[in-house]
Amino acid sequence: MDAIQVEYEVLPFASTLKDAMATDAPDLRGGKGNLLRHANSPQNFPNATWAEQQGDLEQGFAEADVIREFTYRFVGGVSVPMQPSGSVAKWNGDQLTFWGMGQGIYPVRAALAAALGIDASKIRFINKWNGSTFGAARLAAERFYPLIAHLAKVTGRPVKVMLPKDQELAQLQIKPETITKFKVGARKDGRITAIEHEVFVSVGDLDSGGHASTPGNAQNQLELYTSLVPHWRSLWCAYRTNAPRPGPSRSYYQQETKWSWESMMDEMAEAVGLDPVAFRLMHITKPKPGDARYPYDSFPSVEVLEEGAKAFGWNRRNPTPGGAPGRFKRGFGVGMSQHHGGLMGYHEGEEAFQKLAAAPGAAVFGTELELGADGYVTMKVALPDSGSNAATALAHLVSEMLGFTNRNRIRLIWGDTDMAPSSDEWFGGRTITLQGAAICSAADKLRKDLLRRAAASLQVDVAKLQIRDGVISSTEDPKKTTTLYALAKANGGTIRQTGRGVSGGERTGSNKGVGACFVEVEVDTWTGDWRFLRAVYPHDTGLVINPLVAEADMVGSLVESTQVATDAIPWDREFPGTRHYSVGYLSYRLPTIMDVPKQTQLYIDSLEPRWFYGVKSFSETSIGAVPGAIANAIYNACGVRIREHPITREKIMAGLRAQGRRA
Amino acid sequence: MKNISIYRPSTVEEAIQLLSRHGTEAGVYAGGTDLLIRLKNRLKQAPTYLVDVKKIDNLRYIKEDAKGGVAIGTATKLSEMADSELLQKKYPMLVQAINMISSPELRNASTLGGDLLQEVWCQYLRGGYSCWRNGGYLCYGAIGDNSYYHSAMGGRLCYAVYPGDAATALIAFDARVKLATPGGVKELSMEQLVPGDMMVDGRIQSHVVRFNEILTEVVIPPPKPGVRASFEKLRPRGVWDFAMASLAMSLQVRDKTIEDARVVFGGISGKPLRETHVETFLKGKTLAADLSDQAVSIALANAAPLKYNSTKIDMAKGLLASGLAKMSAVA
Repeated sequence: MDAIQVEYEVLPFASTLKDAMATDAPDLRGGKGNLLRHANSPQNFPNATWAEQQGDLEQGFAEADVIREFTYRFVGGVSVPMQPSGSVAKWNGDQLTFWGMGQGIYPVRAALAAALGIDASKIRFINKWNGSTFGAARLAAERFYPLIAHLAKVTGRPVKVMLPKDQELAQLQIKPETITKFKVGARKDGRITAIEHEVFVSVGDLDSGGHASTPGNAQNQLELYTSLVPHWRSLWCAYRTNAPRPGPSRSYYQQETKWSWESMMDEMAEAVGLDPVAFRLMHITKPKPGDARYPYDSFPSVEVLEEGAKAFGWNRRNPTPGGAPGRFKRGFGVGMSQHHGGLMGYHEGEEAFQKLAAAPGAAVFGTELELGADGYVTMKVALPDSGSNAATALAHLVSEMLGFTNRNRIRLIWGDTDMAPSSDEWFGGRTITLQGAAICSAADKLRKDLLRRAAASLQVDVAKLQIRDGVISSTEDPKKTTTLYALAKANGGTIRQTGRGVSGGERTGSNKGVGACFVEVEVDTWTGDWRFLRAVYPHDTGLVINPLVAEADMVGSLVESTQVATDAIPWDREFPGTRHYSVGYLSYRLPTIMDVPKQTQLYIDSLEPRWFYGVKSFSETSIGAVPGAIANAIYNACGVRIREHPITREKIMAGLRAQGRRA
Repeated sequence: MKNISIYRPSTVEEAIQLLSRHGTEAGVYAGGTDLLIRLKNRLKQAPTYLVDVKKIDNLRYIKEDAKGGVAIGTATKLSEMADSELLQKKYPMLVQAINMISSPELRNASTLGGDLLQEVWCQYLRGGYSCWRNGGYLCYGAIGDNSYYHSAMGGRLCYAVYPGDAATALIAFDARVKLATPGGVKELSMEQLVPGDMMVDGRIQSHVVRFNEILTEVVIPPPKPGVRASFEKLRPRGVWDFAMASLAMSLQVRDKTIEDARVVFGGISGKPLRETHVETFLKGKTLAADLSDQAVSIALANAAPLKYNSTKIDMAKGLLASGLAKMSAVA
């Protein structure tokens, strides 16, 4: 490496929103301006990428008794997977075996085959365990797959590529720098009359505006608190920058935008003299059946807030910021969040399934259940596990549908294109909903098949059979029994059924989750140190299939969101003026379980199941609530309002010093 | 990681011979929690020849000496110190400090000697940048992100803070160390051992141990009558991370009068920093709650924070107030 001489020319660059938005900013888009505009950008707002409004903003502010303006800046974050990013390629003649890491195996295999110019059937793709991927990590790994396979081909030897953890950090997609401005007007009774909302987002080298250019994403940030506000406007401005590219990174644009909303709601509650929970209850969206704006099966926003407040003991909150005496001051904070609750679709047997599954590029999830002569059921799924233990929940479903009282009779084969039927990949909470649809479909078919075979064997009406722990018996004559083992043996050793689910259709967006986070912190006003003491995470989950898996997911959610709230990519500091941050984890300090308190999970099952089983996503729904909740609790504890992410001891100390509070 | 050779000597003398043979290419290998990471980080100063001292019998012990003090072999694991009833009885503050070092897993592997002599944890050094300690002529920390790992008390060449907690605590007990050298045993005070960035044998390090010397023992004098001590540490995360600021304080008190004081800050300077102005101020004073305001006002008067780390000084002063408040509460 020392022999390589590098000559380079420093071109003009704009790595921050401030630089990219400046009047003398360098041109990063070939003369088109750094603000992204597209065909659907609003003509009446030439400085916005996307906009939506309702009512008359001027009238709204004219009706207000209290008007406040706030600016919040999220400086950028990364969701970091636990496991290293690594892959292995090994050729045997023209057959490639590839061990990768990601969120699916069949789509990745197809992409790798296309890159190598070979047929996908020539590749066996294996990916079983991941320590998490968060969307960000899988893309960091996948970009190297063709190179690894090529190197293995030309060297004639297996090739393994492992990114050192510090180099991996620079490969991950990020949560982008986001500046949010609010102007809010409210009446004396607290009712908001007008919200002027402007969001500026750094989109790196993207040609689209990320969440600033797609109404679905932008609206997802609006629907929590605008439905009852008569006059509001929301402008989203996406700027090309020389910052790293944003993208999916453990929830799509939740934390960076929700933290501003939740901070604003807290500040406005104080401005109008209302309790933050009461203020939220006053404004939270409460969809009514048939409201086309909120076509969700359920949206228990009020239950989430009220049940959470009750479990947390919110009524013990000191309404005076920093009002507690003494050096160590405790504070309560709340934040809310809502997100799709797992993208939905259709399963085999439904009318929409055939049409959607036949469409080009359809995202079809498949599975196979195989009852063996030993009485065990083998469940074959393609999806890798990424720490969520989704297969445990899926096995739970199979067990229950086949009448087992535990999961001991379910075997799992997964993550291997030679072993598991084709499936699309998971993202957007699709594992339980769509892979689950395939599983339920197959289990339903297998159950019916087994009962039919038993009915024939026992000469009993199918409707009068019961199935429990591998034994099928007549409900009227207990002597008439057979076993799954016997049925499989009679069929030559195995009985198989397959099932499929498909993404898309009208049902896709019907599954909306809502959650909140209540936290208690303690601030040491002498040192700026703070401790995260307690959290209640009320969460609209639908049916909880497996409580342990659910709890683990929510603990992970709190750890990750605490990380995002309390540390920032140090890109303005490590190499001033640049977005360079390759130094690694000594600068981006990840929390552990030591940094979050034992939390109370509060699952609210509001969903009337209308599709196999009523499930919603877990951690992503409420993950956006945490940064705002922590910031609000810090303020309640010591009176220091942090409007520029991240929440650090330095900022707490600076705020305390400005107040003259510390010793 | 480069190829390395490992020697396993059975005596200190043999180890010194091996170190002498390979010069600065060799290094002492014990717990490995610092040394192996230096190798993995590809630091220029990481050794090629590792002299593993774990098989040397007489380096791993905690024993009371004839005067009532305690001698600790430098290959003693931090977890062994944390579990030592003798140390808990005589120097509970030291045990408290040891328990705040990194995580239980690391304390099971790390040794006292390794903690005292560990390389600094500047992110630029560990990231492979060509800084003073890595063969270059620049301190990136002085101009870049210096919020956590760099001195707020000025510096010479390298601005990285001294990262160890054990030395900070041990200085408050007036601990001394023994070095085995080719010329015999050498004794130093703990302060002399870790004076901050120094050019030793042509390389910059935080301690004065030469390439052919081995730190063998730490000796802590008997506890002074009426002594009370406290250790406090602030770090960004619950485990693993190094001190943003720490404070080891030892006061000798008789009838509420402070007869002697040691005030040692960690995490804010290139060395464990004895704040002698505060020590002098405290001597002769009555230990009471109102003492902290005055002590804080004179503490760290020579602070020279870098762009992002002035909070370290605020935190250190807060720890001083906190420590004094706790001790006066006991009184």
